[in-house]
Amino acid sequence: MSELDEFKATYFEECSELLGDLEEEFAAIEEGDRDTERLNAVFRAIHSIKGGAGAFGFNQLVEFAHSFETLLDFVRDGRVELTDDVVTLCIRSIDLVADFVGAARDGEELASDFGEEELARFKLLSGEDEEEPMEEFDIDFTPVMVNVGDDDGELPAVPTSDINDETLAGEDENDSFEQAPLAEGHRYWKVDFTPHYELYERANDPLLLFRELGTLGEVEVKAHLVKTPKLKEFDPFGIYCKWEIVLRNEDVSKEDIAEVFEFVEGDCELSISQVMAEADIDSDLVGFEEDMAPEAQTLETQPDQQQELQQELQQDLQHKAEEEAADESMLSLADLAAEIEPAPAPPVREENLVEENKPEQEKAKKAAAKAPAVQSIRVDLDKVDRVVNMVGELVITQSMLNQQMDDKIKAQYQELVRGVEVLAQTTRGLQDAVMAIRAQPVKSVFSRMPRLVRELAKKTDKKIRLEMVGEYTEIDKTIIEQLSDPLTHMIRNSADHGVETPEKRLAAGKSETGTIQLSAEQAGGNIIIAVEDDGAGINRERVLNLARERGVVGPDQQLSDEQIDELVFAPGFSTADGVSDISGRGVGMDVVISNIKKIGGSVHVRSKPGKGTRMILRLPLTLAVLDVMLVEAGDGPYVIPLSSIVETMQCDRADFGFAPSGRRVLQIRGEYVQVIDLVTRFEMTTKVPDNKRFVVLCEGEGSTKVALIVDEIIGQQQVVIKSLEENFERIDGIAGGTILGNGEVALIVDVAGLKQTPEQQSAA
Amino acid sequence: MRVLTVDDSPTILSMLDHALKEAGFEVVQAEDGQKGLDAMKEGEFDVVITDINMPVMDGIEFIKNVRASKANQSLPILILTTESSQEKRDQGRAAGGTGWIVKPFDPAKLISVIHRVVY
Repeated sequence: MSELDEFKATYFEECSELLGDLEEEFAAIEEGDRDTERLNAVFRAIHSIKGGAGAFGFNQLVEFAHSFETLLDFVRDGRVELTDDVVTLCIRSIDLVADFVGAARDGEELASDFGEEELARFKLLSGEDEEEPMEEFDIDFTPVMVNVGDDDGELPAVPTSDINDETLAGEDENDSFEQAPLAEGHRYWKVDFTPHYELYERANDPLLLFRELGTLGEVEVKAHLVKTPKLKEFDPFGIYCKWEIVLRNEDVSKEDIAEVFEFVEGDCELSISQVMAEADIDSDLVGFEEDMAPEAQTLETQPDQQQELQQELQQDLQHKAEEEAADESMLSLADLAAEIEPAPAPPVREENLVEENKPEQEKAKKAAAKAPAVQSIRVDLDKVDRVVNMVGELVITQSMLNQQMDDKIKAQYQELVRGVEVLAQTTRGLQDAVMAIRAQPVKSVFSRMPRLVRELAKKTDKKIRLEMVGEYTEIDKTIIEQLSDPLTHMIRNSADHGVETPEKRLAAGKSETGTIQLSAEQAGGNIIIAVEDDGAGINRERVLNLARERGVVGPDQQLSDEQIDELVFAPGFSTADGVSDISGRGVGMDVVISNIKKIGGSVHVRSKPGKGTRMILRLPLTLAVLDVMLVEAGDGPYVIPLSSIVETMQCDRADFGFAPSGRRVLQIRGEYVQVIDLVTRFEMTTKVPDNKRFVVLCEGEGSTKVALIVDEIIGQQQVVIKSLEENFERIDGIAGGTILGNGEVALIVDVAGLKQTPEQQSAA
Repeated sequence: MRVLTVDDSPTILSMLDHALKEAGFEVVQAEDGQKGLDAMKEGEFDVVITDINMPVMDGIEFIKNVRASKANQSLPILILTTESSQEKRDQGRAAGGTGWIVKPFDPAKLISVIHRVVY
């Protein structure tokens, strides 16, 4: 991954968190909560999304977020009233922001008028001129010409030289220069600079400014040590200097010089002017001063006043010479450094912030108390996965040790046994702790659902209430990311087909408002997520007819009630009305379900006519550890994910037959199921006679079944998944590998992948 | 040279981190003003870069807190800004901000701005 990609990955991760927050905040705002901090939070979220988008040049997103942000800013300070309409606009706009983010992530370009309507409304509401540029991405510094004369009276900061009788002549000369540039002699820049006390207060430093100027060309810095007091009256924080800088580089623009001073704008007096020189200026001060003809000389000082000042200055200089022999007013940069170092606010850092800052500290403590007490660090997922992986290895090693200890060893080395027991315990604890790092509360997915339900209720003219239980149940991050689609589909199903219209509900003696309950709980090594409604239940007759019509179920096939219910998830069944215009991706329920199965989960539905429907998602706690059935086939062990196994039986009790194509099929409860012999499929041989072998009935993609024939069933266990692609190469029909307790490698059968072999396709 | 970066956006923090480390700075990150102050208790910094809009303690409050300590009076503080209205930037300066960096920044510009305020 390139650096930029890494930043982008961070950005998109941040965006999805922020979008989740936005959903949540606006859900509360929609309920009527207009807390200032809430409004600040939504503003910050959009602001952050915009900031990152700007960095990567996602211009469409920047533009949209900018206008959205402006509106939120106006809402925040009360310039725009937060009416229901505005809230609806904002909620809709969050979706659009999500779309913009998604497009940016996938490198897609959205239509140029995407979100135009909302954009126009933002601008209308916040009175933003359509043509107004987004100036924050420019440095909008405008150099200000400031009078060199000092008006605070304390500091007669008028320089000794640049105010003289030649001012007028200088201006004339300058005019002629404007008309005929480069015609005569050289040009140079002259900068007059008088810092104010505030400049030091903000930790700016003249020396740094001069150093910066030095990057633009050759500079000469002249300090006017006016009003330098006697040493005993010297205030280290006082300002006793002003500077005159000559920059010899004709190619530098005034803006370049102004930029050097941009941070001290307003904290100093500054004049930048271009000067013509008849001859090259040498470092002789007098010559240099006489040549000065400041272009932007705005000072109008009376001659007598000048004289007075000059006299005063001279006295001062003499005075200083007596004191410290610091009468040289022309200093090199290095000398200057030595000169000014001790003057302004020297860095003293030995004092502690805590001591210095009691009231603020109190305030800060209060602020901290308001924030959640959970301290967290952000860690790259890769790093966590490395730990997860190593803990997996540790678990394997530990169980290997356990298996190696026969009764004889156990009797002989009791200390060793105890040690191994402690190791086992610690390993289990470590495994739990590491899994907990990857775990996140399902709340992040659940929080998107209230809005979905509101929208669905509006669309279908039903009254629906959503109850959420167990939002803080934690589950592996990767699984959480896969949860959004299935939940959306399940809830949509409940709202569309489950909950009845208010009239029907009243007629059935139920309350007008239907309830959908979304719950999460941990049960053993699984997380159970259920969507339950108190609607009409699945209309089995209709479902069966529809399934027959679409060829999902054969005309003579008899199905139990449960089987009919499960048809809701069958491929080809749900696609027509299962395509959700709310999730907007056109993905059918069957695809969603098969994604759940891929991560080791399962989906079931239970329905009671007239009472309601309960759809249950059963998910593994983590992706790294898989519950499997260990089997033997040919010359090695294989494992089959437990989640895909329906049942097992001995071959001699199974009812095999042959399809017209000549392929073996298994007949079970009126259904014909494809048979795949693992031994022949993976080109092995076996000595186990056919009647002693076993059938493992599995459910593949979209609840289609497949019967696997294996030599022996050994038992159930948990394994740590190792990627085959990373360590070897991809093999069709194999999902990965694992290391068993005895050190043997077993391959994980990919039930869905087995079916997709060319052989099978031609047989079908 | 040690830099304290204070921003609630992990994207910005990681971009700053990369650019600064590339230039040889040592970087400490904080997610809001309060965490920034905490970090300053732990160690000394040569320059601080802070966002303005942050939860818990915003950048303005943070700068005021830093400047309130005599020990930090000459510590350069750079404000990260995208504000079009200049209002926030001015508030940041009034609170004691030394200069500012306009987001989105390019790494070279970032480093050059730092060199303008640090010896």
